[in-house]
Amino acid sequence: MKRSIILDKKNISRLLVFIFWMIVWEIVYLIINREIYLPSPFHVLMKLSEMIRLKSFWLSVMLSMKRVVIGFVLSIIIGTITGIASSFNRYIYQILYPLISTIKSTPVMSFIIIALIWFSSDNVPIFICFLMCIPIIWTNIVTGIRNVDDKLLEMAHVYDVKKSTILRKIYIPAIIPYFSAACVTALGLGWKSMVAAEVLSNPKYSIGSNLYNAKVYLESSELFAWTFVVVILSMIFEYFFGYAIRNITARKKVVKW
Amino acid sequence: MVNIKLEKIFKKYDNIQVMNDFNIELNDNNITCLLGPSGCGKTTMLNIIAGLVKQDLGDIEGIDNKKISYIFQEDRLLPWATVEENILLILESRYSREEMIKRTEKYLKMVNLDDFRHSYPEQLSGGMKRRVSIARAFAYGGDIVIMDEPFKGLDFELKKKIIEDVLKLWNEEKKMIIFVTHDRDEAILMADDIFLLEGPPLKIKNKITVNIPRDKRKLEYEDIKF
Repeated sequence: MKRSIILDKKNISRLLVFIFWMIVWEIVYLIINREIYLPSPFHVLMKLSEMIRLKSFWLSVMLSMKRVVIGFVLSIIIGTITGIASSFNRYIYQILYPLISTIKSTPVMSFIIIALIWFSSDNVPIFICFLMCIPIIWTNIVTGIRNVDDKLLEMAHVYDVKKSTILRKIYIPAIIPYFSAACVTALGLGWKSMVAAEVLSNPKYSIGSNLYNAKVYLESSELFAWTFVVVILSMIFEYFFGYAIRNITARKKVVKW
Repeated sequence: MVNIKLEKIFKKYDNIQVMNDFNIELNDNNITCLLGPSGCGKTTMLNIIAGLVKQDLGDIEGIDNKKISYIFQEDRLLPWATVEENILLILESRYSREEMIKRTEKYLKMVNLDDFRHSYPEQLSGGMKRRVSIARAFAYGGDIVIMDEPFKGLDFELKKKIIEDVLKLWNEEKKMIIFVTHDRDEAILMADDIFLLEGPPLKIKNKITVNIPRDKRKLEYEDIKF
């Protein structure tokens, strides 16, 4: 009962913050008074209500979500495998480290333009999402393994604990916090860069191409409405995917005693 | 009966000669105490016996195929595992599932922690964690029990209680215990043989055999001259 009251208070304060920013937005709109620069929040919401009635809206949203999920899952699989290999073999680490550092420091636009030459427009966003996520996953896996407490490993060695048990019961639980933090961060970044890649690669149904078209036709309300969709989806993704990852990777569930 | 013999052991870390032609004989079924100042090389000697560190030169007799239980200076418990799981972890390679559970129950009971088997280390006090690591070492059933300053940082009452626990476990099984300490009261209370060490390089300054019956010894015993 007490908990629900606290939650209600929290939700009310969130709603009040939302209303506050809507008012600020409306005031700024009234000051500028140029719909093309900044549309009214009411116009944006009206546009959004029109958009969600269209089949193409849902198709764009679903296909964009599919692309981010494919890119993200691929980065998790490859990032985890290469991260583990790099942690236990210094030659693999030395080979991969410069590549990961290069990916980290190269502007995403450069990769999008290169990917436009290499891939079809549908696959560019997937590749970009994968490329943006993999350094985060790889780095956190390597850091997690390196931070496994040597003293626990020494204890396991003295007591002749089997290597498979050390892996399951010491290494995996120790790297789980690093892994789930990497997943949540990578997901946010992957989502944003994937939309950026869609803007440039222009797949038939995508959030990015809708953003681009709205910009070309100077449809500011639509541009803001799509941006609003991106923000909401990103928050939903981060919340639900983050929640699912934290649950799936909860130490108690991963380690069976 | 001589159980472990270290002969002409040499060990160097960077520029420090920790052991230089070091020899020692340790008796079976005894509690042997290695008493000496910090940094003299006691832990290195324990680690060589436990196989955690390899000597540069020299021979060790009597530890082939022997299982070792090690109580470290720190508790070294997995923070994500319960008390019971921490013990089960190390028993997996030696015992059947049934035997593992039986041993875990038995030794947790002996250190009065059977009610805390489902607790996590963070939920335990320092003394309780230390008792878990002692229960773990004895549950493993090593032929030799090595203890590296096991009572460090514990207050007087807790130290007394844990020493009682260790002696109770030792009385049951009469295993060979080798333990390191700086505290001569601890040494007198527990040990059959006390090696007074100095170094580096590690040297035996004196060997004392404590002939006082254990039930007559007290922690604050000060009469024995070194």
